[in-house]
Amino acid sequence: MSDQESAATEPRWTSEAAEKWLSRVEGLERSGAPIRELLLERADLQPGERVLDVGCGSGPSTAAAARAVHPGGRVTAIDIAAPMIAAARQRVRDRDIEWIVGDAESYPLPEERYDAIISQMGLMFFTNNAKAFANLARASRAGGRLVGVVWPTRDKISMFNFLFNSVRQTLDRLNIAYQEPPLDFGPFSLGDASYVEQLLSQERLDRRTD
Amino acid sequence: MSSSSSAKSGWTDVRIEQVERPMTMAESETSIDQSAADWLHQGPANALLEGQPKDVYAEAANDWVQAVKQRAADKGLQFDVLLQVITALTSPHI
Repeated sequence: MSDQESAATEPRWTSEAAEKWLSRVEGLERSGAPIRELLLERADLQPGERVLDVGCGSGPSTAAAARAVHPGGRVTAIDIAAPMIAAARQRVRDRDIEWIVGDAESYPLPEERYDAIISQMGLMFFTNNAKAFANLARASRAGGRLVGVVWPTRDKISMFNFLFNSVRQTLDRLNIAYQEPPLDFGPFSLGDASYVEQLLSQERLDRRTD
Repeated sequence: MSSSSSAKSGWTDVRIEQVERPMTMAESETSIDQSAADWLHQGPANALLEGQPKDVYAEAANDWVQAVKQRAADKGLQFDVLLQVITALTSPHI
């Protein structure tokens, strides 16, 4: 998927969308627990580490990361939706966590700062993937790690197949024509493993003015 | 002075792993009220419904809730869900 296509299909994390998400936050956080556990397991955070949590939402992964790096560590959490950050502050209530309302794709993060950059289902919403991952690389210390859990393409996810099949049956019953979205649209934009490998491994041309 | 150079994206040792984990659908996704239609509007299945009038969303929401109830009665609301883990390391800074 090109970045232009990604931009055209990405869900907009507007305040309204965030408020709707937050109205269901308890259930969603419970439902997302296995994703969070997998993320923390793979990230293997250690006491004393500096961590950036990208697309932190209402903060459950941030809270888990803060526990993992205690004592001596520090977690920064960034999310594009102000209502999410406000909710996360209130729900997590940890004064040592730094909360940022901003777009991790372009936010001026401190350079070479983080030992680990983690994300629970937040990496796939960037508008320009190459720019975003380069920005995150600049914020990571040399040898630092990136660990993100994302959806594979939508056809591989049983829960979404169940949902899509239900909606298709409704539309078929009502004789409404519809077009199948691409397998890697919107939240599934990093679902193609070969695309992600190419994206993160590619050569790019840096232009600098000294 | 202007100069250009070829550089890596900033990441190395990129690994993509697919892992299956049991996940239980959130109870709030299964309620029979306007919020089910809202949920369809906000969620990924909106890609099939976008542009349809409100009554179509309402029909889809009703069917969705019935499908969930049936699934809950038959097998429960736990799914084996495939997740994709991306890991990478930062390459040495230039």
